Amino acid sequence: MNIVKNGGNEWFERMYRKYYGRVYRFFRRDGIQDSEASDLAQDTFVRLYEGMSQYRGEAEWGYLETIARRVLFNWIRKGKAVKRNAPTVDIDDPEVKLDPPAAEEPDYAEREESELHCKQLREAIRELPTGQRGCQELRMDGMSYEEIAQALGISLDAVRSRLRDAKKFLMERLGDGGTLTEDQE
Amino acid sequence: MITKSDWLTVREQLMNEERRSLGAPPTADELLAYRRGELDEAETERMRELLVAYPEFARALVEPFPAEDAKPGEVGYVSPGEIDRQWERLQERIGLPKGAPVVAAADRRVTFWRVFAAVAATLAILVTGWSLQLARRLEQPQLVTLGFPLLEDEHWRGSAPAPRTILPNRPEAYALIVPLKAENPFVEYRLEIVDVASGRKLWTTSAVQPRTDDTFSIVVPGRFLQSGRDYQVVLYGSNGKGEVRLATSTVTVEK
Repeated sequence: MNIVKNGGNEWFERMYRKYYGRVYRFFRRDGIQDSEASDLAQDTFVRLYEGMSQYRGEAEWGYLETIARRVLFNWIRKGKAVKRNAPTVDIDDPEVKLDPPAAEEPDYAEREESELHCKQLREAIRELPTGQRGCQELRMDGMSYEEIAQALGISLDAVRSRLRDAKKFLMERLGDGGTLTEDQE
Repeated sequence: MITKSDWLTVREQLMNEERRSLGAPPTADELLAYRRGELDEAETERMRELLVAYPEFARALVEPFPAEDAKPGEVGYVSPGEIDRQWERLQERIGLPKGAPVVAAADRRVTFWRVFAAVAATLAILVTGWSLQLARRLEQPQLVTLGFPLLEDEHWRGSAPAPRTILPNRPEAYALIVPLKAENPFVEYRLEIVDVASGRKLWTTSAVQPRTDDTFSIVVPGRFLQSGRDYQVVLYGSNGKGEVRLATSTVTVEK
């Protein structure tokens, strides 16, 4: 089906009005702020318009989703992504002081202990088998079991099994300090 | 005791090591190919390592696509006014002609039934053997059978110009009859009428199901079509999975 030959502009506007809300919502759900999400949604439809002649009548939503994901991947690649857990400060927040109080004197003993723990933990994780290590690291990023399964293309049971084995190994290597507590998970 | 902060620190250190070892993050093409299951075993394994080293891509890969628009108050909600504003911005960006809303907003259409209901017309139209029964206050609408190119493989791929139908000048109404291919698989159909000169969409139907003889018909009040002008009647088919533009027929109103 040649969209361009058959009045592409009408098709394009119809696609826009039908799907803009969902495309914008997709970008906002990924934690992207409003103006950036609007720009990315615009980029998606620009790509749709530029590639209209290649549209062969596939399911509209799946076609548009592929374009939107590509736009998102390219945006991330440009280094625009913000860490999901990065703290943000509202400059208009009255609680934000322009002259923060001087930092307390560092507790050197506490810092040394933390560095030792980190070293032990790092070495232990390096020793995990590749599959367990990957699941463990993504879990440390805050991804859910389902998300890890989907990202790595493995079953949910495989994720559970690998994380269980990783936890067991880390506990044996590091003692009770080798796992996150329930409220840390 | 290992704290959560220790875990996050270690994660960041491992991630930086992995990135130095693996190199650049995956490209969009690679990620989409991975998502479609098109990579071989070695490539898939490497992609997994890259996703662990670059977890922002892992999250983007699994972020679900919304099945519907956000509602007011929800994150990601965009108002109809904002959609219009973004449309204007998009038109400027890609150089689309402005000022002529070719398509009305999704829930706005010319409800010609309202006009026709005012003259209390109910039509059942038959062609080639059917009987036509009309109940209305106006004189009988001009029956017009539209010529569409033969449909092939569910889509119109003909390169010949769309056939042209001449309409007599300004009767009260036109009854446009759309003959379909018997084996056409679409469940519902929709027509739009577009003014050729301006590109402006004048009117669109809601979804219509064909009759058992594979035709459907619509009635257009005469005042929608001006003498001496050309209009495109565009046929769309829908099978529940999406809408496909099928064919175009051109009508000209006599002067």
